[in-house]
Amino acid sequence: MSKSYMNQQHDIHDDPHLKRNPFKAPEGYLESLEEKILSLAGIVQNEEVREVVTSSRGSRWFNVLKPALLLACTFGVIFGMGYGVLRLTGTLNKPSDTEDSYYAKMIEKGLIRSSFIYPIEEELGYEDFDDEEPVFDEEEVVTWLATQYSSMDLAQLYYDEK
Amino acid sequence: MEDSDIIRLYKSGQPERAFTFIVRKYGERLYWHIRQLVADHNDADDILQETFIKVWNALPAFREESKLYTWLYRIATNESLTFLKRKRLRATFTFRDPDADMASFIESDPLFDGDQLQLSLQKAIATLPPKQKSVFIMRYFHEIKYEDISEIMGISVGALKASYHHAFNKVQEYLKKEGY
Repeated sequence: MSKSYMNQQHDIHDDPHLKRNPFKAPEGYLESLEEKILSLAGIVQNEEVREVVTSSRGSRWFNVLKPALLLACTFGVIFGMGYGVLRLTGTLNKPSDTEDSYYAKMIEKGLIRSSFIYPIEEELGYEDFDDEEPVFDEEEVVTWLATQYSSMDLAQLYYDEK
Repeated sequence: MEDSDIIRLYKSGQPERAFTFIVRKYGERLYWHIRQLVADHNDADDILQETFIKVWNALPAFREESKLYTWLYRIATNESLTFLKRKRLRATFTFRDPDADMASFIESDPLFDGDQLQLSLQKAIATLPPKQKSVFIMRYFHEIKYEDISEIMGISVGALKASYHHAFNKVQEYLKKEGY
């Protein structure tokens, strides 16, 4: 509208053009207004309410267990990742470096004699270590040696050991 | 549906249905009333939601001492005026001119669909004090009767007429300065 048009209209009081609302609402806003306000006030159609209640009943247990399930899943993932890392680095199947294997290696290399180990193990409290070893009576050993070797052989054996 | 039917529905123990009819009948009208007061759509949307929440909460206390529609307009107008006062206060603290802010907002608003004359009119309205602005918008655009505006604003009819007269002169003066 030009300014010359207004110069003819000295009084704006009854100008229908000026009284027209010059604002627009975003597309679809007014159509969704009722639904938006009703939902804001917590008012929904009865059918909708029923639907919501039914679906919420079904998922109620799931909602209760959800935190526990999430926690379990988290532990599972962490455990899986740890296991995977150990598998990849080969640490999992590698024999542990225990005292048994340590002494076995020493004996293998000839650095110590096996007879030294038992007293040490006794000191460390490994009482069950020789559970499966046969136990010999002293008299049985003497009898067996006397039948197998002569006195000279035994003396020689003693001398060599010494 | 008439306002009296809505009230009857509410009193018969169906407040949700009554409220649905209120929203259906007055939602859009109140939106445009608020929108013309605050100009910005987002602000208008917020104020409208706030208005209807208040209506829903205050509905049990509605005593029919006033008409339903003047009661609704009163809540919407009070919400809008509170918003405009806060906006003015914020503008003062940040050394900004709230009227100039609103005018420049309308000018750049993609949701403003008017021509230059309508833009000038809106700029002129933006310079009015909030209460005078409300009176002018209700009387000029919505053509609400003075008696009803009196109920909405809680001001006497005589004072309202004077207020509208002042507002009208200011707007006309502004438009003259703009060359219209």
